[in-house]
Amino acid sequence: MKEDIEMKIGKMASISLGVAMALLFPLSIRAGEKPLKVKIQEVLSIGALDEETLFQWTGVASDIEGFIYVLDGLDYSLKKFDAKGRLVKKAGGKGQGPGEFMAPRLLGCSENFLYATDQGILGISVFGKDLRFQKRIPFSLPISDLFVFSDERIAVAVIGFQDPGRIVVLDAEGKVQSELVYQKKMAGPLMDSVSATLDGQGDLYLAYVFQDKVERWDKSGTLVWSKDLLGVKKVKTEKLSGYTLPTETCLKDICLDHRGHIFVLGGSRAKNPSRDVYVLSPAGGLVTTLTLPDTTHCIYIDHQDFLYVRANDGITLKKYRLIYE
Amino acid sequence: MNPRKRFFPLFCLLGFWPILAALFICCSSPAGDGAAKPSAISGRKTLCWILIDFDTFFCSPCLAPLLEFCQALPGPIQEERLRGILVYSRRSDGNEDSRYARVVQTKMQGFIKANDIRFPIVLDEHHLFNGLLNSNTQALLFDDQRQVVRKFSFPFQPGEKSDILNLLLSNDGG
Repeated sequence: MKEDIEMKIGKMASISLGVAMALLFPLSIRAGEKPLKVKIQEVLSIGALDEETLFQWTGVASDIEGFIYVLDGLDYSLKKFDAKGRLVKKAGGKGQGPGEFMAPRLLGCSENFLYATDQGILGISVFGKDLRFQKRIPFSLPISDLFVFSDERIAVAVIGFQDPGRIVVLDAEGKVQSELVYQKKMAGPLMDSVSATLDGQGDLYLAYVFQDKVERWDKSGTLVWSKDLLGVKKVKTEKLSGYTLPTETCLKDICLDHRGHIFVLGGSRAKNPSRDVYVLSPAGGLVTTLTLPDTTHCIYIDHQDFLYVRANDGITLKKYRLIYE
Repeated sequence: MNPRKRFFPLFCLLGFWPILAALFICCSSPAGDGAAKPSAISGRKTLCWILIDFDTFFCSPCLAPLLEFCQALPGPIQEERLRGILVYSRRSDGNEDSRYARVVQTKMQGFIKANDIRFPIVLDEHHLFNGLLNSNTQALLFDDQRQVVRKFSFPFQPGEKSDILNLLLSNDGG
């Protein structure tokens, strides 16, 4: 009898252990995406209150030599700073002529060139690293984001007002090389607007500005995964000039570090609006959230994994080292 | 809603029209013998105060009518006849409002240089003119000929811009 009881206890223990392992096993798989903390350490600050270095910077890019290029929307300029934040050169000016700006917005950088978009001028202006205007790449649609592959290839996310959202890959002359339509059916005017980036394998990552959605697409145009981050079902909208337009933002920008982590900047619906940065694994799992000290309209990570963000309402550009723990 | 908050804009509106009118009368009076050194706005000259909505700095189409108006006036006329007041929203926290005033001041310098603005612009740091703005840049014209103060909103209605420009360009003191 004693042996029967011992056998029963042993059996129960085995069953309990099995159940426990069955419950814990999936968690241990998720935990295989190692818990990660990301901290930031300021290494450079360009522009300050009461100075006249930057007034309302909009776009930023940096090259392998460490130069930092900045578009300034308030004085219609393109500025070049060295690695210590000293102004090297300024170009541009107000206007619609070659090398001029009306509302400069996005900036990209290849080995030899800089690419700038303007909300008041269609197309993409190309400058040399010496800030000399080279040409304008023709493109007849408004652009919500820009990604530069090389001197010969760039990708733009098109703002959808009447057509579903798409990414268009162009050559240096503006000829369309390929297109990815990422929304089969349009969700509404502007609702398909995205911020986009690509990894080294050519996979595309999208963060929707007016929808709570982050997506990864492979280079064959197949959706790999889609995630929501904020728990937002629908943003507020308003009727303007006959259109129903969104008045809140979900996710404002997206970029990658060289470890494959995806950084997504939260918009007005984030817990800390325009300060929360969600760090995802390549599989789309949320590994941590980083809250910036000041609001920013964009995030940019350079080739050395330094993070660039805004401060002082666009008067300051901050450069941070990313510290992984 | 706090009654003070509800009526504060009205107090500003009611309180400042007499102040502006008094200022106009003083500025329009001819300087007599032994008078103090004339300021830049003395003499019988039509003046225009522009209450600039800070939010228009970030909207090119919104800014265009103001800049077109300014550029239609020669530099010396801008310097002599125009005065700008940059109006922006008050921040709820006092310390934040002070910091934000510096932000606005810095951006204003960029705006002035980039657009070749020739007339002086001051910051409405105490938010005295917020009630007058109504989310549109406004022009307050001290019409010396008719001895009245007139208010115009940007963008101007047809004919208004040419009326204002004619008054500013043709009036030459007396």
